[in-house]
Amino acid sequence: MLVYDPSTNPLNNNEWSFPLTECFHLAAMALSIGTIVMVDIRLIGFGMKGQTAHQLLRDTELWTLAGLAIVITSGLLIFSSDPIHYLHNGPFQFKMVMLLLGIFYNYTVHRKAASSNKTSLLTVLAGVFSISLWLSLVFAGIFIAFV
Amino acid sequence: MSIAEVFHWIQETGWATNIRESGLTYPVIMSLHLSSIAFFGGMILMTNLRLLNLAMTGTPVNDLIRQLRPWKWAGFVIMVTCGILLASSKADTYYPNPYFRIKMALLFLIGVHGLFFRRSVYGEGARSATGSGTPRNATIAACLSIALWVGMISMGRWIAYYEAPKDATAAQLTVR
Repeated sequence: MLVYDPSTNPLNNNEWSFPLTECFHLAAMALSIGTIVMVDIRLIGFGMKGQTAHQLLRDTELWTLAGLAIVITSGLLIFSSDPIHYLHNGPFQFKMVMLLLGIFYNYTVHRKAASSNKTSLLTVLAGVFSISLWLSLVFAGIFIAFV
Repeated sequence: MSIAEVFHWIQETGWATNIRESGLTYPVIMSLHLSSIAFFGGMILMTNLRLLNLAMTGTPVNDLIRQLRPWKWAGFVIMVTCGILLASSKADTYYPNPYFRIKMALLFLIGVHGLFFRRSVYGEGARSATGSGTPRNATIAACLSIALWVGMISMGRWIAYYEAPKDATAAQLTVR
């Protein structure tokens, strides 16, 4: 039987590849979450009023997707460096649940809210929920290392 | 008073000690530091992609910069505040850390970059129309900004992986 042994993973065998992967993870995090939050600010009506939420979504969605692709790929690599540790880590489990929820939410409810051209209580709630959700992912990511 | 002594003094202040010795405060401040990068770093990146005509080309450059400015400033203030708190709580180990020093140099360069291109690229009257061609100084400003910010994030990460040589650590610890 083939058993995966993390000690053979290149990420665990040199000094630079793990932090480098983390840098990709963080830069892509900024790209994906930053672009989503720009739409959220418009949904809430705090700013970005030069465009409709729909325009902003259209302008940023490709970059959000690119960011998500890189952040998830680099995340999988980081996960592969020590799978057992991560699987038993509470904040990691929470983060994965929020990630699935976040992706689902972003491409359903959030998208629908951004297609309306008026700020209403519903779009405000959609924006606030989105910000809270992605904020919780960042916090969970940090707390993985602190439990 | 040498710089090392100043750093040691900062680390020994009550609030820095509290952050260092708390179970929860340190990771919470760190999470806020990272959240600012997530929320507002993305906006900086989008501004630069716009300057390069790669994103949001339907929005005039000036409009985008003007609309994002207050958010980026808010994010910058939160990020720097949290960063000062984090570094202060471990000032003795941060001071000799070469990645920390490079990171501070990059932060300084980011300030210089902002001042240098303030008029020609980021100012109100810099470029009014959407314009199909990208002015050369906008391209240079955007590329430099991306490089500086990616460098900042990278050095921030590498701070955690630096191991001071044994005797150098001892020398730091004996600072009175």
